[in-house]
Amino acid sequence: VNRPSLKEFELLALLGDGRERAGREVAKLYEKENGGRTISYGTLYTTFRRLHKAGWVAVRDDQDRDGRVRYFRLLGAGMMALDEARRHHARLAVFGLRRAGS
Amino acid sequence: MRTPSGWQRVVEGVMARRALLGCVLQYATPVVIREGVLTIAVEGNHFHEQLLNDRTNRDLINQVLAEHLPGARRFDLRVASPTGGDWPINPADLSMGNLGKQRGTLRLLRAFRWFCGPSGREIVELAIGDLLRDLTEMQHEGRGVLFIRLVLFWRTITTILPIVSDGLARAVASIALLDGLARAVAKIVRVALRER
Repeated sequence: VNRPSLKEFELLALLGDGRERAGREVAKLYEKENGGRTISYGTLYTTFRRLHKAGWVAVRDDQDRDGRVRYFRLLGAGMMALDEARRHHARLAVFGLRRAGS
Repeated sequence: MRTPSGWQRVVEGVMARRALLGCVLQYATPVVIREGVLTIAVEGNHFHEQLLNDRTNRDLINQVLAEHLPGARRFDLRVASPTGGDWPINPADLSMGNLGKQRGTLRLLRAFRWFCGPSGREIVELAIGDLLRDLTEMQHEGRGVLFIRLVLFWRTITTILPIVSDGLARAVASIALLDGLARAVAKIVRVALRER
């Protein structure tokens, strides 16, 4: 399984509960979970395009009064990539803690 | 705890001073602020209309409005009958029409769309929809025009830049791929010529 980049990992993690979310909803959640750090719509949608291309995220398009809405949902392969990235970050954290301890 | 939006603060302020009036106001929808006048839409009966149009009540609401909603000095009421008929002014249309100037900020993004490939254009269209939703939300929160314009401008710029950099990265990747293909073809040709 390829390992996602940090931004891809963050977005995958926000879909980790299996719920389908609209792009704007993900952006708001990102801000909430990252202590006020925001993500631009350009970064969000280009990153999701890569995640979709990798087969990690499913996409559904809809329309409302203001225009197009795109919904994203984590797929099985995405869940595997997310788990792998979590393990990788945990290993890094343990390594960092060991270094700090020594 | 999240800070309540400007309109919520107005409703709470009125409710603290006159509970019944506050309750009626709770079901009102702020539509637009134009030239210091906030248009609010209420679906209710004649009693609601009378209550909100009462001189003393109006003064109280205007007073609280000026305290909590920058840019609004007084309110204008639009009432729709619950038994039928449309709003005297459609809130959606009204907000669309009056948001023209703020929407103009998105013109840059609309123009940028024509310089993008199909996938970039798709992303721009999605971003425009989201920015319009942001715009409506900011207006409902009672944000000032300048604030809204600056936020939209900033979000427009930060939408364009990643699309440009993504496009460049993909162009470089395509060139690298073409270069790899060309080298492979050249190698095959060389081998074929040698075998001859």
